[in-house]
Amino acid sequence: MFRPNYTPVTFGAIAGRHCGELFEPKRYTALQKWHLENGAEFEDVGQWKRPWYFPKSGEDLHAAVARECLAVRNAVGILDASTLGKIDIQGPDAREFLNRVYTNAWTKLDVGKARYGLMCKEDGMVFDDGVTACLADNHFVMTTTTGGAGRVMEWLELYHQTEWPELKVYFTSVTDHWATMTLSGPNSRKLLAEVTDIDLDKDAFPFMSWKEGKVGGVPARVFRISFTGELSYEVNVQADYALGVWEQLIEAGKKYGLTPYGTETMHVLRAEKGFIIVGQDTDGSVTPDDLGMGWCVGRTKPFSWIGWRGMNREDCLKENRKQLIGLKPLDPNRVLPEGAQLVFDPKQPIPMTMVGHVTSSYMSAAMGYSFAMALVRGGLSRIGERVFAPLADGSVIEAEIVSPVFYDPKGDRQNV
Amino acid sequence: MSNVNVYKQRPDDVAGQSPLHHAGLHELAGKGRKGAGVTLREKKLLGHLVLRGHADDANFAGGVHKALGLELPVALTLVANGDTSLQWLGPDEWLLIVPGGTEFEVERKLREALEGQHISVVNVSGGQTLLELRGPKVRELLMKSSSYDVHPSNFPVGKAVGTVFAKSQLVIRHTGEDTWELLIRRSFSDYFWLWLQDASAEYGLAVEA
Repeated sequence: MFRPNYTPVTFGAIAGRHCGELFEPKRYTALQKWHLENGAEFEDVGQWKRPWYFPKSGEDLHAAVARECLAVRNAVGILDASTLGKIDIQGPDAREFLNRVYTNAWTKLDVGKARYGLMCKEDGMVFDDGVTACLADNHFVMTTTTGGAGRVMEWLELYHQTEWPELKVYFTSVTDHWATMTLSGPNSRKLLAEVTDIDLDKDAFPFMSWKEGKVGGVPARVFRISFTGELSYEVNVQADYALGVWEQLIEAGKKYGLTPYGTETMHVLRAEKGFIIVGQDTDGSVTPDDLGMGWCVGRTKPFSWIGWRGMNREDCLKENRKQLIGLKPLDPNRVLPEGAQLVFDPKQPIPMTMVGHVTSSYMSAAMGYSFAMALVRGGLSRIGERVFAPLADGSVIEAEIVSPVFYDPKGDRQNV
Repeated sequence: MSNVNVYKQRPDDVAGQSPLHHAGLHELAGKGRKGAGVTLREKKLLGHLVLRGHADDANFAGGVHKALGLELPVALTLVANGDTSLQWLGPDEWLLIVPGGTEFEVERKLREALEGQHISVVNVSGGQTLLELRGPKVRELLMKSSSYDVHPSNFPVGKAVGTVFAKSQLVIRHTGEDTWELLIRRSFSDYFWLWLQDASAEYGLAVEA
């Protein structure tokens, strides 16, 4: 019996020209040139190449990230956030559509305001999140996770075409059209004021709102939203004009201690605030309530929305589910490995009863100790108790279960 | 108009950088092989608008015609009038490409002509660019790069399709006998540029600024 490939075929004949630089598409933002010239190390996020950190000479990842984190907490940092998915939504039923695809309510979001939203699949499990802003009565711009942009776009179109074709709404991807530059830190207002005609007064331009104006001479939409917990402005301009705006911000930022930061610092800062990353702190088996984000569930929305039935199944309502909590290692210098399994009883003989795992874990330069987020069985009712991470090298890290919001729990810093 | 947020996104007095700006095409211009089989040019910084509406609504087609002087193209085709082209992207979706800097005016005209209808117009000018490929070997280059049948019997002038290309996706537009256009997204432009250089190497590649 013969079957392909009975005659030997070289791998080259199968691979074709998909090798070397052409092995896989690499996606870049409009600011890539600056990142390269300023020594960024890069991280793969889907097909995107994102600046991971910007080491100064002699710095390793940890030194660079500690410096970048402190700069954002104490002065101001700048992040290229262009890779976030962005979807333009237009139509008289746009608002109702949002009500049905997000877990929370959108009916009362005023023009000029922005709101955080969670999306679930039908099973009630979180699958994306992001901030959506109301640009006009019939006009919204949705942001998605970087990796989820394509998925969410298809999801919206699928539900519109198959379930609710009567809703008058259209979706268009604008991810590549807009470049997004995030200024974050207590000096961000002063810095931005140097290059914009927008009134940045805290009452004229409050947290969770957006304004239109010029930044560096280029028409921009600026959103006051924050993934670090600091006073932040996300500046969006047509990508063709982004590099010049970025360079003006860098120049104007010199006297304010402006520091470019990458995804690693972004991850640490958001974790200090207990902000989740979908796909890192969630794995498709986590409901909003498991995340302690029940505040983001619209339990009285009139029309049934995606995930509501799923998250009300018997198993999803059990009290002893794995829930997202914070962990504070007793040794403030030991960083729990991400993925480490957790047990309540470190003396139990193997096989031990595993009660969860570490999802995010870092050293915090701002707080001076290591910290983590973890999914732990019944975790929300175990605040103050201990868990143990027995590691492969035989050592055990003991940690206290705490609230996942480590830094500025009242949110005073982002709301100034 | 007040139901949507429309504003002029492109500055008047600031130089823009197209998606392939970093490739320095203007420096490569004129340096390619003589009699190159493929000549590439980035038609950069144009106005790109995505238009959505009801194709079977006479008011929609009429409004589009009133604003643009173009008939709505049928599936898998594009129509052009001077520097303006209108391409079918899907049953309720079209791509309008206009001279760079006119997209805001054109959007306003479109919205005025379609007032009261459920439509959407979205400026995506910064997110994509057009590459024009000209020459006797372009079709062979396309055959190497995409599984879509680009033979004239299947892909006549005036046809446009979104399809697989190398390991990604783009839109192929057949605009003249030996002239084709690739519509590519900004973030993928470097990948396609690398691919096109490699794929055209055996035919000779010339670049026009």
